[in-house]
Amino acid sequence: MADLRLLRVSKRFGDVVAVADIDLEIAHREFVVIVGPSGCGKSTLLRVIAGLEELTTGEIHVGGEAVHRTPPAKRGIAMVFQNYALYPHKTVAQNMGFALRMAKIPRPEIDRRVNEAARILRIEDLLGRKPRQLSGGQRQRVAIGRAIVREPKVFLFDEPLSNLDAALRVDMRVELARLHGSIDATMVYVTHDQTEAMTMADKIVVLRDGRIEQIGSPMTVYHRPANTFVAGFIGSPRMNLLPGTVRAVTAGTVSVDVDDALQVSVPVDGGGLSAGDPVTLGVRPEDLTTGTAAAPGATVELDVYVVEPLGGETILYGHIGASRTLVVKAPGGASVRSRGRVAVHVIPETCHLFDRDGVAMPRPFPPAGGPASAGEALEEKLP
Amino acid sequence: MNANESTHPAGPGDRPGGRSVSIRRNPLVAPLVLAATLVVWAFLVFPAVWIFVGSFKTNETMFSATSFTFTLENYATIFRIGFGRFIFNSLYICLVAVVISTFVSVIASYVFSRKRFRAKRVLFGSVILGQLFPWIILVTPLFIMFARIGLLNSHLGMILAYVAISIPFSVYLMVGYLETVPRELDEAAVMDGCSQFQIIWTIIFPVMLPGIVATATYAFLLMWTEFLFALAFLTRTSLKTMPLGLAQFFGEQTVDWGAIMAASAVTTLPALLLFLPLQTKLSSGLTAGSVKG
Repeated sequence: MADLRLLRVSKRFGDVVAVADIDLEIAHREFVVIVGPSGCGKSTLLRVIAGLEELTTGEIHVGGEAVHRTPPAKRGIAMVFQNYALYPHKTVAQNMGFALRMAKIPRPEIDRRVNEAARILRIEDLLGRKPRQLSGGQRQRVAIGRAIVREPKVFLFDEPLSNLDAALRVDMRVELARLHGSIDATMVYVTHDQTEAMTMADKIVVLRDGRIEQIGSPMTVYHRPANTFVAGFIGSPRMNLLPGTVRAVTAGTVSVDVDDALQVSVPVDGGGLSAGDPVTLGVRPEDLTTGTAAAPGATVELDVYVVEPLGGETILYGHIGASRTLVVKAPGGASVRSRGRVAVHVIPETCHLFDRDGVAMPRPFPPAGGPASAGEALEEKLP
Repeated sequence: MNANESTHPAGPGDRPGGRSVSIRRNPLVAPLVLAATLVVWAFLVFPAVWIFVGSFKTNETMFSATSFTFTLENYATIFRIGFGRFIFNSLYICLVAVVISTFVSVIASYVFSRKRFRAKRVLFGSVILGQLFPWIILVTPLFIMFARIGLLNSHLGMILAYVAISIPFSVYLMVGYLETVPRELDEAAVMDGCSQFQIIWTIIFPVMLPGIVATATYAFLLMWTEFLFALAFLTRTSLKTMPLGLAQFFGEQTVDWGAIMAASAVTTLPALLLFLPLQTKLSSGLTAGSVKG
């Protein structure tokens, strides 16, 4: 078993706190993606786990063993660097076998493991080449191969796809998912790309300013963001966050006014809220529909100022009320012109409500119908 | 904008009138640059050619532009009076000094480039500060020190002096080179289980070899032609280095130009033989492919 546990891990550089009190449990064979904006401490956290940075306080356990005082090479952890970091003077095979040579593993065993990794990554014919003779995608494979041959308990990936072009990134993403399925290891993956996070992760950790904002499955952080930061960070285009005020609180719903333009009764538990309290109403662009639908809900007039037709979908940017910006993701065929007015339908069940501190109000049942239970039901429904 | 771009057909963004604006090069520029290059080349190469040709001339035809009498007598003369010994001394001192200074400089530059420690800037500054003194100022204190500890008339003393004067600029050049070598390489080596020493010698050394070769070449040539320290610290003939040997052909009354030419030609040989093969290592781009550029 190679579970990874972080207990109150902190890292300070002088007075700057890069990582603060991180508690995280990653199960054996789990694929965890740490996301966050630039400078949120995600790379530092990964480097602390790897042992490239010494932690200031806290403990790190791999497979039940405390490793935070162990040298990096002996932690049972391998790391794939953002810019590959291949040794330019060594061939692909030498690059991949170097760690094993350092560990004084017999030559035939090194060859066996290198060939096996090359087979998994389909780079057998590149083993004799130098890194400069490889393309970006091939170098990335070699970098991953170098990690595989060590047969680590935990793989760490530091934004491994950010240097690849868009098409190759998609290919490698699929490749990594396939790799995760085929080898028996826990993976921790750092990225600022939420598409990578959503598509690859078993569990997403959203980080801001060195602190964990939310831990959960991709569907949980998408459908049940814990606060306005996570709500705005996960999803593209980002969630509309509209400042409003509470009009009335009843059992199971909170009625919210956004200026005079929009009134919605959001089905959340409004305990602690009272009329007149400032709140933030969140609604994803993809949850809004154009036209007055028959379903119950609110309708708002959108004064469109930019239309982005993307083929499969059309993104509308417009104002509601005085100057509140609202983004709507409409179907690709929507015939909307800029400088026009469009009726936009808001379904209360898809709305999120955040209190004055930006914390999400608890929701009694999942969005878009379904069983009236807590988040676990949602996860079961969306594997 | 390069020449290619200037010849693109007129696009919608060009000026009204449809004519593209191209940069016209003055037709005189290229010939002028070529002429200037030739002049500089002549200044650099002429003395070397003159010395090489002169070394095969007799003293009578040495300064004549029209007559040439071929002779090997000049070469016979210098080796008869023991110039070979001076070359051996120089080779020995310079090679040992270059190896030591390079070894120390690689480690020092690695520490300056990669490690965080207190007073790093002050220490690095002091390395450069040592370079600011003209060597002639250093001769007297070094002479007194060497006299006290018995390093006058000793090859060890010369080696130490040369190591001391070459380390500062070697460190300076190598730190500059190391800054271009990505730190991820070190970190990958740490993850692969390398010790600090192994990182330097199995990863960093091969990667920065072009920089090391360039620096070592420069250091070697500096020592190879060094005269002042040798003159001050070496008085016994059997220990003297090549520049001192050359100087002895300048007599008080007469100058044996033929011998000087031959000796000069010979002194360039070891340097050429040593460093021409290394030139291929100087090619840049050794780190190509290591990380995303």
